[in-house]
Amino acid sequence: MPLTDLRDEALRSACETAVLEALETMFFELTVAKAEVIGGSSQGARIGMANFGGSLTGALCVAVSDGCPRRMAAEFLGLEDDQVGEPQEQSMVAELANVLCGATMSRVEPSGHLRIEQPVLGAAPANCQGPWLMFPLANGSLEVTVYYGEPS
Amino acid sequence: MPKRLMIVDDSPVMRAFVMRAISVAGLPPCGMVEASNGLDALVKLRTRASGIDLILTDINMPVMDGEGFLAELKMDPALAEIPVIVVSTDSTEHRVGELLRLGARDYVRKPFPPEKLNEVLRGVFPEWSKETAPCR
Repeated sequence: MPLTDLRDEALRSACETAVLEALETMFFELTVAKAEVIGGSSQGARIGMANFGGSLTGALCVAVSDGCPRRMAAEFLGLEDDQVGEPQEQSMVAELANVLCGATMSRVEPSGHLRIEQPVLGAAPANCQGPWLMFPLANGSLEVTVYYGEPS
Repeated sequence: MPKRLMIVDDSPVMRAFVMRAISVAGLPPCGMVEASNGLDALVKLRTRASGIDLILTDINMPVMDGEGFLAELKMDPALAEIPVIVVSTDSTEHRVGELLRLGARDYVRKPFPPEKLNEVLRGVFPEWSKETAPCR
């Protein structure tokens, strides 16, 4: 089954719009330079993944580089950095994958049927071999990859 | 009398984010009750004299999802009149239409700024339009 990934301009545009919207509205964070396409996620990044099914099936992976998860979780929750613990950082990354997946795929398939599974943390799966979009932040980066295909 | 809101979401950080968004949105004081899924919400609504004025619920949750919760709620005469706002990442026309058909009052798509909650909640409680004190 051929998969569509970030080499597709429409998907790349939907993903970029979703990430910038989420960063600004929920994390009060702006990118410090334009997003660029890279070959893979950064070493040591915290990775969250949201699988989805419905009229299209696939996954979105988000990687948040070292130094960013704590500050982003603090902004998200309205806390100081030292008030944020590991569980909150992990939950934030998982929720970020969920939010970006919905915001991206609702743009790609607005008339479709989408069901997002519970986000999981861990390494990017083998299917996430396509290009990633890297968004430079003040203290690191946020990287995203997404792919989909027709349901089998 | 302050309004009491219930926030139904399986993600603790998202519940905290919604509470924070309400607190910074310039709305009047309100009490908050949390639930981690639809079934948890129904148990709390039915076993407590909770006096909930508004429910904000996610869709994709384990145990009982938002659609199941909404359907159960609308079949219970004691709870059916509580307005429900869906707050979710899934904003496809199919899903939004289905939730509105089930009786949801409105829909807020994640990601959203605090101002969006302000607008939607003031739509549910027009009397809030006369009040501007932030909820702390």
